[in-house]
Amino acid sequence: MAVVCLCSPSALAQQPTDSLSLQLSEARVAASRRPAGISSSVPARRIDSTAFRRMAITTTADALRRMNGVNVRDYGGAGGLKTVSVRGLGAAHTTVTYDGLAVSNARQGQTDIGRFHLDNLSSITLTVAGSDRLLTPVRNIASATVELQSVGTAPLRKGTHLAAALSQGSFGMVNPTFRLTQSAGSRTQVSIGGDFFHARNDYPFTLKNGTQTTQERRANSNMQVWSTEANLLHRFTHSQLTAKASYYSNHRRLPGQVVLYTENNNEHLEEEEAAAQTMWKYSRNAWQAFAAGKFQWQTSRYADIHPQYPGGASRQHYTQREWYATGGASWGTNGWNAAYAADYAFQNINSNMPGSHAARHSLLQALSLRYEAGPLKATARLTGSLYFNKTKDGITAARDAHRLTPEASVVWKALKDNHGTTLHTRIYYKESFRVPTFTEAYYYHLGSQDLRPELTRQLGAGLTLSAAPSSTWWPSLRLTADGYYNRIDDKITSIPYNLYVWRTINMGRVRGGGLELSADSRWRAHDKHHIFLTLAYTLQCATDRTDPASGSYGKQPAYMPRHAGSTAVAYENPWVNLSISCTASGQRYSTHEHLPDTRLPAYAELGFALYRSFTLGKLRLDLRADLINALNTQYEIVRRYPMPGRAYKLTLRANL
Amino acid sequence: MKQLQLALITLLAALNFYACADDEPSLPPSQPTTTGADGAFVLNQGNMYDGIAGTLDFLDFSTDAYTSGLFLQANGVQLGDTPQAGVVYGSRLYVAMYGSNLVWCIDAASGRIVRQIAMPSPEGICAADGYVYVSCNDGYLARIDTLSLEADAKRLEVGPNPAGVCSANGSVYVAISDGYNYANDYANGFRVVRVNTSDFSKQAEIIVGMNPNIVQADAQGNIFAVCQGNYGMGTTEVKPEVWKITPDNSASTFVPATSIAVRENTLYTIYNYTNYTTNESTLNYRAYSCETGAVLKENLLSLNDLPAAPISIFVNPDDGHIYVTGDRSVYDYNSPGYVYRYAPDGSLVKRYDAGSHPFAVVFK
Repeated sequence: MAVVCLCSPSALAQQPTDSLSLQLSEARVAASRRPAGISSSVPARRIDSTAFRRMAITTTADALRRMNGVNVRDYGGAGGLKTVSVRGLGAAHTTVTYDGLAVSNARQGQTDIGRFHLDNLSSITLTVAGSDRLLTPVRNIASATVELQSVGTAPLRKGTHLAAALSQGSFGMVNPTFRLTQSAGSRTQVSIGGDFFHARNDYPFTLKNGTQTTQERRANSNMQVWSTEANLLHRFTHSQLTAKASYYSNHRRLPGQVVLYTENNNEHLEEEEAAAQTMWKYSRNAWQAFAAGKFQWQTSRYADIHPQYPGGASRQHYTQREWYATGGASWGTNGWNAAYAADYAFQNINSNMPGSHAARHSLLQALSLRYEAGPLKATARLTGSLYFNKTKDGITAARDAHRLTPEASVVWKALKDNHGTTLHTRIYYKESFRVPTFTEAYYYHLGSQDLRPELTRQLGAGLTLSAAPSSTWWPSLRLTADGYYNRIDDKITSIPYNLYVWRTINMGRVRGGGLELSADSRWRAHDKHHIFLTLAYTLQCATDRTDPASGSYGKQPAYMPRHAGSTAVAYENPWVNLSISCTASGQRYSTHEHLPDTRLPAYAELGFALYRSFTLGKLRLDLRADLINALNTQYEIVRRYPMPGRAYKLTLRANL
Repeated sequence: MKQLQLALITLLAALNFYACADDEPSLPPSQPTTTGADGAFVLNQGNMYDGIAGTLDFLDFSTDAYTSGLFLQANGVQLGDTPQAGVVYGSRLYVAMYGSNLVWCIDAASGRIVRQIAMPSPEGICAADGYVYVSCNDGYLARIDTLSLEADAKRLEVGPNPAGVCSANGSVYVAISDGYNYANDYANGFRVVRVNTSDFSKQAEIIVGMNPNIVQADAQGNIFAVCQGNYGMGTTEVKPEVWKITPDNSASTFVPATSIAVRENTLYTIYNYTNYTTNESTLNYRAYSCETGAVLKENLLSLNDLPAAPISIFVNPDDGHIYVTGDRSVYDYNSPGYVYRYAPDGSLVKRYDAGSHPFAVVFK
């Protein structure tokens, strides 16, 4: 959000962070044109499509790793799985929403954010420890929430509009997209869009083996994605209805780990997803309400082709379905606001694996209360969660779960002067829990039906300073600082009981703290010459407190750097805009035990972008050229999955 | 999912294999010339899932010096992934590298590479009559000519997921585990295939228990096959047990064990069994008579110095010292583990700091 307020007030006006006031009334939106999230009760950060360029961001994963507290697990290349965990809580605690509703994966409990192409997104928002929104689907109030807003949900515009784009890049990447938007009358708009993405992902990397260094190339890594979606928007006098239908398919080969002396991986993964969702939002006087529904169908067909398996291949086929309904209402008077929301979801899965017909009903309810008076905003919320598990074929069902989890936050506007300088301070506490995924509960040789939910507690405090040091040359500055302390109990962990049997059990305990600093600034050198700066620094200290006899006790958990940061500078001018970014991470270990063999050294990656827009009559052309990892830094985020070195990407976008 | 698949693959890889029988002094001279007088190589399996490569260590008996990472020191490159088993034959050590799809031929004196021999997912390894025999997880037995160091073009099809191998009676015995067919109760395993070394042909298929993965020979040419069962995860629980195969190919159940070693006519065992469904665990160390199956020693190892998290058991044919490899703790399978050395009376001689997941000891 900080970026938005500094970089694109116009985009902000189109995309207020409060989805419930979303485009209900243009007048209302214009009036609320204050920097998004500045008074948020919990840490929140939003990066929009303008900032994607200004920060030289090239992928969704790249956008997320620029944010404070985020660890992106990236298996490398366009086809590599990318998951997001925040403040060391684990990816299963991060909810990813797409156009307002959660993207579900009950099997793995984590979302591959690599499947959302940046070019199809208008903004990405990360919120930690709950939500500043009083009224929102209960699932969206998570330990961490990544909200992805698609370009398909653009505000209502009259007439017919066509957008087409073509990206082409290193390692055989080509990505054409198109979108057609048509209004019908003054209240209705439909859009359809499509996206094709192909990449070979056969990037070179440096392999170190003892004292030898060799140049290798990733193999068996190509992918092909088709996706399409249709959107409908209709405005009533006091409400708005949106609907969306989408289909996505991804056929890819998995390159597997880099293993010394051999390269014969033959894994294939085919994924398909179809989803339909609709949302109705209402706002009148003191009342706000919403109702939404979603159906999501996903299949995953995995094959590891090798003669060692019966039938010559190990095949794992899964089909998941989810029916999801959510709704709620809020009412406010005299500074008080109360909201109630409820979510119901039914998820099921079947597969060709032994004992894998499982289903789950979940009912989540949240009751929220907020008081606002002058500089004070205090919020309390209680969430009640009920999970019921069912199975077929005589398999024991996973344990049911229920729990009440509280959260509370206070924001105090400590300072406000006549030049627009404000200082907001916040303090918050949140408990949340996650139930075991279907894999953790049922996977053959690994799952356990006795698992308890994994519980997290977050306590944090922070401040946001927003200022306009000079109306002529330094129009905006935003500084934030946040500190936190986290506890994870009953962490769900897979361990071998002996050589032969692995079990998934509740045995992890993690304690951690951290500090997150960010700065965003804009300078005006001349009328049309602006310089933008973004800085983020994250300190994370966490320790495993599980078993004093184990080699991991007291150590920083796997894949969590102590220090991480990013910076980006953009120079915008009438000729060609330039942005430079740097993302860096301290050393990490790929195992909870810190072994010399599993140390991943620190790295820094540098990127450049050149971009320019042209207008030819009604046609607007956006051109962008990226140089990614300009210094060809060789590094791994996940051990044995090297990241790509130097690469380029060219994008041409036309809007009519 | 990928991680879980890897975990499963790692676990299945771990299900298999073991070092072949270290050879008995009474075996004919065409058998490996291992004596156990000089020292012992230790194969640390690492953890492929967590990206920890395997390593090779050496314990020198004359100086009691333990060299960690001998292979890297001697060659400047890493050993590779998931060493499963090794055999000393002549002046060379041969190591089956499951994850790296190769067999290393290493000079046993210096640790230097003599030859890298490509091999699809090798598991068990043993030597006889001028050849090194390697079971490959894709269903075949391969052999390497120890003079030319070339693998035979022809591999012998033996059955799904062959595991441990050993040589005795002019034959190589291969345990057929069908380990990846757990969903069908390992239905196509249940056997040990006996291969003639004279013409590299199948002589017999001997029916044993479920999921055999270790085979060892005693001084009389009896073969002991450890059948791991189904870890309590099938429709009915099948517990681990050792089957005994006599030289005339008749087989019968013998004693319970999950890891074994043979010296002369004594069977040394670890029984370390967890029923997956009930989570009940049993762990004991015993010695049995190879002839009768009678318990020779109820507590093989000193109860005061038991391994924290045992993996496999080995016995030095030369002096009868017992070696048990183990992880640092039950929940810590990545940290450097230990090799525990016990005197024949079961008292702990010394605990050596090994690498990650020490899996096999090969006597030189």
